Amino acid sequence: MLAASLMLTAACPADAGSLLKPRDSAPAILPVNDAFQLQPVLWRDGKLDISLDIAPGCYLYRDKIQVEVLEPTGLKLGRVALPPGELHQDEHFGVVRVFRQQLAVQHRVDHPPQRLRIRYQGCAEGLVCYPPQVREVTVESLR
Amino acid sequence: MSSSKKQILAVAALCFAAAGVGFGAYRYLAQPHSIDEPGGMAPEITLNDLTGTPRQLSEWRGKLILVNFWATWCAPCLHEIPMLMDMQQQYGGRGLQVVGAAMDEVEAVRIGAPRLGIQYPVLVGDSEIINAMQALGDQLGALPYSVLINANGMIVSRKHGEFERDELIQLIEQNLPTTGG
Repeated sequence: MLAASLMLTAACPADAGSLLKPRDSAPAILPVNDAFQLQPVLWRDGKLDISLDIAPGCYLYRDKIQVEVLEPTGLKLGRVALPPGELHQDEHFGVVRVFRQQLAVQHRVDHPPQRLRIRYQGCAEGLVCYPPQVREVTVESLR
Repeated sequence: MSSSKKQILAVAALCFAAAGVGFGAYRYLAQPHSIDEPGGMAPEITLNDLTGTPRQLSEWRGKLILVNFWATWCAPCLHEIPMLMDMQQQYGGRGLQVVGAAMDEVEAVRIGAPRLGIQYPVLVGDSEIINAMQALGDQLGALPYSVLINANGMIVSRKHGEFERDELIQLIEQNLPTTGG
């Protein structure tokens, strides 16, 4: 019954949200880890899969994305080819390329890296920008 | 009391408790969005200015201080700054002090601040700025972030994102020191 009650409570988040919206109904600004969710990094069959889910209304700058190997030292990734992204006219920075919704990268590398450092940076359209993010992740190797 | 009544009461109590837990959890999750509420006394904040000299917020105590966290890589911040300069010009004589706090490399701000025409004090740092933002109530790590501190050192407003001009004027008018600083 307790579980059922909890399910009932969780089943109407939209109603709860309407009650609990800020009074000025300003658009909600997400914490950075909700705006950009780095998914587990996988290596499988000689390919590295890196994926970032991007919340609606948010975007990542293409030229701010960097991937480097932490371990094993000496392993070179080479140039990680990113998708082209889409053009974005920025009032201050001109035309830039950005990613929306999802960034999915598949990069061929024969030997699996163990740890990576991934950098990215982005904004919530017309609201805020998030500082450059640095994540150090362990690669899940699926042989 | 019959066992069926006891069962009904127990179920009702469980439902009520579960609803409370759910509501509390939702409030907790929703809290970062309620960032426009005032928040007690401002802690002392020390940050370097563009010459590397440590500056303390208490230096401007007695004025209405608008601390604006920004960065040269933040487009909405750059868009907002001309309005903040207007506010400093319009209300500086009545006790408003805008202070820019840039999350950036010093050199980028040394070049960027004059280019933007910023006349008010600019402080700069990296992790120091993040710490200062958090000390002043930031829970999102997003820019711009502005904190309005009244002449008594009380935080009277916090906001992520750009101010609307009318909104900011109203806030300033409501909180200017009575003596003009």
